[in-house]
This record gives sequence, structure tokens and C-alpha cells, in this order.
Amino acid sequence: MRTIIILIALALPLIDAAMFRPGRKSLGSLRLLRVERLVYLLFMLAVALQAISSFGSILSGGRMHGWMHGMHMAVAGLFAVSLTALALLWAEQSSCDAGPTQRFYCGEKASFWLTILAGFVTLTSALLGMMAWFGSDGQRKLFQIHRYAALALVIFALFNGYRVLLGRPGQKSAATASATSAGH
Amino acid sequence: MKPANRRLALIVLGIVVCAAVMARAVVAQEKPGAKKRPHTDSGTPFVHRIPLRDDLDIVIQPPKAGEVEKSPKPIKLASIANTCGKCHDYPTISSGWHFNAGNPNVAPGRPGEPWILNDDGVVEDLKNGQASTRTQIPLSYRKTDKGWPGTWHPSEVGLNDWKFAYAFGHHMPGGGVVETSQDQRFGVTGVLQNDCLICHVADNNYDGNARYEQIVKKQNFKYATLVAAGVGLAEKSREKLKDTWTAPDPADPNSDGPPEPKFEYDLARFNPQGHILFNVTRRVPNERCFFCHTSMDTGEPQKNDLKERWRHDRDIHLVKGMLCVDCHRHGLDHQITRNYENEYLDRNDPSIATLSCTGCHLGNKKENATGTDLGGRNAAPRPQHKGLPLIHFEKLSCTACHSGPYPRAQATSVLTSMAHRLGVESFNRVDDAAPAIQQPVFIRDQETGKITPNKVLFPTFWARLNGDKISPIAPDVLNSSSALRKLFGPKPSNDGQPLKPLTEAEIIKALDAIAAMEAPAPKATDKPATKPATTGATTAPVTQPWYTGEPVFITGGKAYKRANGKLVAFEHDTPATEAATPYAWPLAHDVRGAQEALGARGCIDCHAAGTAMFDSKLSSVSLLEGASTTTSMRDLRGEPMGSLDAFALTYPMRPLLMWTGFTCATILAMVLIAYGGRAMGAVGRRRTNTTKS
Repeated sequence: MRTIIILIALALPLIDAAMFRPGRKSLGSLRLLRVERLVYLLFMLAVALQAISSFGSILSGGRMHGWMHGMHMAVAGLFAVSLTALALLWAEQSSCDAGPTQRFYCGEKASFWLTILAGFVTLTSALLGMMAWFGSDGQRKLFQIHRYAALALVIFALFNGYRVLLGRPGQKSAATASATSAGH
Repeated sequence: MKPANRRLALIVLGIVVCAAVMARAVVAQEKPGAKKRPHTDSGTPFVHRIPLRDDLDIVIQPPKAGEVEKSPKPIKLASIANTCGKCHDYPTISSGWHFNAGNPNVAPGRPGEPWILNDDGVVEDLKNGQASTRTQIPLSYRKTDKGWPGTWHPSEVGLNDWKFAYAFGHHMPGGGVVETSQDQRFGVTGVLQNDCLICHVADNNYDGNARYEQIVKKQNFKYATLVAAGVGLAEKSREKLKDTWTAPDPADPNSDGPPEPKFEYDLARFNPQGHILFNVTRRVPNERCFFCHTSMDTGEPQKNDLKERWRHDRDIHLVKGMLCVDCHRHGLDHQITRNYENEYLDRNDPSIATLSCTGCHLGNKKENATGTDLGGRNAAPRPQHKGLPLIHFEKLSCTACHSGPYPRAQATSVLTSMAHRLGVESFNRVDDAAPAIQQPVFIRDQETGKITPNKVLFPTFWARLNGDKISPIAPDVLNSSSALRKLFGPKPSNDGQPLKPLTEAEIIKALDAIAAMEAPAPKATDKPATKPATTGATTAPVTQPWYTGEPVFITGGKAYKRANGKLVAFEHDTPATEAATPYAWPLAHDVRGAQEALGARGCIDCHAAGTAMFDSKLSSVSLLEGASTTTSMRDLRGEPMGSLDAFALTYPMRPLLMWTGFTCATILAMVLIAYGGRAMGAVGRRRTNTTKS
């Protein structure tokens, strides 16, 4: 519970930074290449399915088992591949010194890197748990790490997804502004 | 009242109250329950070179050398209750788990091994012999509304306490209901006292076979312990003595009737002081437990694996040098722990929480646990379970992977002491001897919901259905019908054999004969054979329901009745089919170590097609010819298996998933390291620029 609160506390300033104090410089709308769109959608789909099968089961008062567990395992491969592909696609443009090629706001970059980091931890903790290297105590710790890293991943991915897919704060006003200037 | 008088009255009243309180305290100290007993309180066993005591608690003095010939006076019979009870609190001990089944106030706990009534368990008709009725009914005094479902209380089958003692006393330690019952026949045979020696003799000189002879062959219940312990011999039998027999008084020349069979002491056992050495111990040797608790896996039926039992390994705890009593413990009250997972809840005793597999090996999992709550009792190693996802601990009991014989494609036969009279010599016993008990059968524990290996018995019996109540008919009642005797044929002279199934025509005829049975008319002159039992619940019912209602045959998990000259099975979910439900009780031994556990070879020990946990088969062992069926463990549990099957199908692809996962994780790690390094470098440069400017 403590960890959840800490994670939310981490997420909120990001949201605040990106949503309510946007565009110290305007980057215009984000145009995604087809391959980017495909990879990103696959990634978001994988995250959504993983979240529904795991947190969804917990929120509905039960626990992940049966078909939900099967789905979780089946989508795991897609999640791993799409996350890696996304990292390779956007790492350069999300770096701090992206220079003139940069396409992302700082909040988007931060959420991207946090998504990648949380995804990496989620993936690694799951993989290590499947190896015969850790005993029950280790498994328990890995399970906890997997759980909370996944929760963080969902929070960061949701924010990132909102910004990338649904629009950026200030974009509307920028669009309105450009329309107004065109009218003049 | 004047003040002076009032003061005087108060003083007198105070003195009277004080005197009353003190008198009460003195009386309380003197009450019999507070008897003082000697104790040594040492780890070294007290040498039990002790005098025998009779039923009046008088020390028995054996005749000295030469006295026997001069005056052959009979020596009084020793009472174990008084001999041991001199120093040990016999009433408290008699409240223990091994003796308290007949006490309805005792929590029944998790279902355990039942007593299985069959044709060997009834007194044989001296004139007609006993018919082979094929009866196999699981019985228990612990049967209540909530306890041990699937068993029958002896009274429901018409067994009084004496009949129960006769049927099963050979593998019971006595005490409880078979000691305190008022059934008339106990007046002839004596009762089965709580037999301390059956467990506590340390040197394997307690002869279980002799005990069996005294109880079953000779009905000398009162001599059973002494003969088994080698204190003396009893050659004659009480088998032919009538229920109304009383021992003739030797001092009365007019008393007649058959004399009481003699018990002759082995005088060589007495030392010059008239004491006997009993080599007893507090830490009971395993071999004493095994007399009643041997469980011999005999492999697949008809493969004669019994002879191959030398290949079997023992329970890992015993191999490591432990005793059964190191885990199955008790105090003076003899409330021995059964060590299943939630026993401490059933008994409301947190102190025994760590006397279970998980408790001992993993501790109590309490915050700030100390002492035994930490686990590791008796140096129990902490299991690693490397690579085993935690969900398995929620779905499976420890015993599912670690106990019983390594599961095969089919559940295997098992012989147990209580069901097959192991410990009693037999020239004929075979590996698939009746009753047919099978193991391991993976079903869910009712309390924990975990998959647990069980032993299973499909009951077989004849019954009457009155309304929605099934009343099983005991073999001796069936034997009273000459038609049935003829149909069934005599009980095979070879003991320890499998039962021969009956044909449909034979069963129909037997059901016809049962329908024609009439309750025997009570003879006005006869005394009732059964007095009200002390437990209040063990007496045979006044009305005998096995003479009315629809005749039914139950076998192989189904109930059959006659309909238009044919044999038909009852529909599902009727009282009759419920009575046919197999009785299962969890098994816990022999425990196999990590390398022999299920899962030692990886996930595919269970998560693959055809694995024992899901697809091992259980036979219904029907005694209707050709009606035996097999059921898989998954069908027995009746759970949806689609997701697990689908999951199992993905296992061949697992290495691919792992490789993909680790490749992705490696790439992600490199990206994070590379860009993390760049970010740190950028931050460093920015800081330098800021400093310069």
C-alpha cells in the first residue's frame, strides 16, 4: 500500500508538470510513423491485457487464475517484444540531449523512460521467477517486485498513452491560435 | 440490636465464613482427582519393575517357588487400569485421541481412516458359518453431522459397542467406548481396557498376533493385553458362552454352568518380590505405531508387488532417524497431534501450530516469531522450492507432491493394518486383498481447498431405502437369511483375497431375498443382548430399518435397485447415490524428499498431457460384474480444466518464451544503461557550463 502511494506521488508531479504547465516551447502535434503507431498500439494492447488479467482479477475480488492467468502468460511475449521495440524506436528522441530532432515534451520523455524502466523490472522479475534460481523467499520478493513494477508501468504507460494518442495539453489552444492567425 | 451485640454477631459470622472456606479447601485437596502420583521427571526412563494390581487395586502376589504345587489357588487377574494407574492418571490418559472416538463432545477433526466392516468382522454363525456378502462399509464413531462424512456410525449399521470391539478390537488400543460400554456381551468377554502396553512396550515383545487370537478367536477380551504382553497364557475360548453366562462362584457348590476360561500367569516373569519388569518407554518406537498404522503400497493389482516391497523406501523422516512421536506428540492427556495443516484451529490450540509440515519446515509465519514459531523443529530443513511459483502453495498441500507412493498412470492398491489386519499372520494375503483401497487420489481438501492425496474406498453393501434414508445391513444380519447364505456362498477360507464380483442375476436374486427378510420375533424369555450403551448413541436402533423399505445394493460408486426384473442404477443426487460416494481420507506418509517429489523434473511433471495429478485413473472396483469404470483425477475433482490444459499446451513453447524474454530484457538493459549514461553525462556537462557561466 505504501508503495502504491509512493508511486502515485511520483506520477502526480509528472502529470502536473506536463499537463498544467505545458509547452514552454510548442512542439506541434505528434505525427507517428506507421511502424511507430503499430508498435505503440501493440504495446498498449499488451499492457491493457496484462493489467486486465492481473489487476482486473484482483479488483473484481478474486485473484489471477484459470483463463486470466493463461491470457497473462500468452500476452507476456507480445509485451516483451513490443516494449523492446518501443525502446529502440523512441530512445534517441526521448533522450535529454535530443537536440533539434526532439518530438517529446519533458514529461513525455520522463514517462517514457519510467515506462521502459518499470517494464524492464516487470519483465525481468517475471523471467527470473520462472528460473530455478530462487527459492520461495526469493520468489516472494520477485513476485512483489513484479506486482509493484507492473503497477508503476501501468500508471506511466497510461499517462504516456494519453499524451501520445489522445493529445497534448495546450495543443488545442495552439491549434486555435494558428487558425486565428490564418483567418487574419 | 445493641452495638455490642451487633459486633459480636459480625465476629461470629466472620468466623463461620472463614471456617467454611477452609473446610472447602481441605475437602478439595482430598478429592480423588487430586491423587498424588510419583514422577521422576528425567529423560532417563523409569525402570518399570512393578507389582501387578487387580481390579480392586490390590497388589497381586504370585505364589513363591514350591507354593504352586502345595496350594493351587488361582491368582487374581491383573488390571492394566490399576497397574499402570497407580502412577499414571489413567482417566486423563483415556480421554486421548486413540480412545475418545465414542465421545460426541470431541471435535472430529479432518476425516481419517475408517474401520471397514466386512465379513471377517462379524461373529461367525457356529452352525452355518458366515456368507460372503461382499460388505465393505466404512465406519467411525466420529461420524457426526459435520464429522467424517461418508462414514457410518456403528449404530446406523446395527453394531453395538461389543460387536464393534469384536470386529476391530484387535487393532485398537482399547479404552473409551469399548471399555466403558454396558453391552451385555462385555460381561462374558470382559472389556478392552486402555492397553498402555500396545504402544509403550519398547522391545517389540508385545505380540499383536496373540492379542488378535484372544479377541477374535477366543473372545477373551479381558486377557488380550496380558497375553500379548507375555504375562501369561489363555488357551480356552469364550466363543460358545452365552450372553447370559456368568462365571460360577468356586466357593458355591451349587453354582453350575461352564467355568471361566483360565488365564495362567507365566510365573517366570515375576522376580522374587513378585514384581514384573515391563520394558516400557515414553518415546514409543515406530514399530509399535506400525502395528495399527502400516500402509503398504502394493502397486498395481494382480502384479504381485507385495513381494517387491523391499524395493520401497521408507518415510524420509524415519530414514533420518526420527520417531513417529517426534511429530505426533501429546501430553498426559494423550491428545496426540495428527499434524494436518489446520489442526490447531480444530483443536483451538495455537501451541500445536508448528506441528505440521509447513509449521515445522517454514515456521508459523507470525510477525516477530520466536522459538518454535520460527520453524526448523527437530532441525527440519527449510525447503527451497527453487523455481516453484508461489501459487502452488495455495493450490496444493505439501503432501500432494511429497507423500505416498510416486503417482502412476493408475491409483495403486494399498493394504493397511486397520483394514487388512496387517500384523496378524496370514498364509494367503495378496496385494489386492479386499477391501480395495486405492492411493494416491488427488482431490481437494474440504477445509483448505488444496489438492491433497487421499486413500479412497468405494463402499459396497446391501441396504434398505426407507423414504430418503439408507440403512446398511450388517453381514451378520444378511447371514441370518438361508436364501442369502445359499446365494452368496460361504466366506472363502482363504483370508486376504480380492472379492469375486456378483452377476446382475445374482444381485437381483439377493435383493429379492433381502426384500423377503423378516425381523426375528423377540423371544419373551430372552434378555436383550444389548443394554443401553454408555455413549448413549451406540445401541442398535429399536426399530430395525433393514427389514423394511426398498432393497438396495451399493457398489462401485453406484446404487442399484430392482425394476421390472432388471437391475437399474439410481439417478444422481439421491440419498442412495450419496451413500455410494467413495470415502476418502488424506494420506501423509511415506514422505518423499525433494528429489523424489512431484515437480522435481520440472513443470511438466504436472503441466502436460497424461500427468498423474490430472489424468491418473481411479477404478470404481464395482462388485457388479463388468460394471467397474475408471475416472480420472480431474473428473473426480469436477473442475473446469480448459485453461490448465491450454496452459499445459504452451509448455513446449516455454523455452522460446524464455529466450525471447531474456533477449528483450538484455536489449532493454543495454538501452537503459546507454541512455542513462548519456543522461548523466548531459547533466554533468550542464552543471559544468552553469559553473563556468
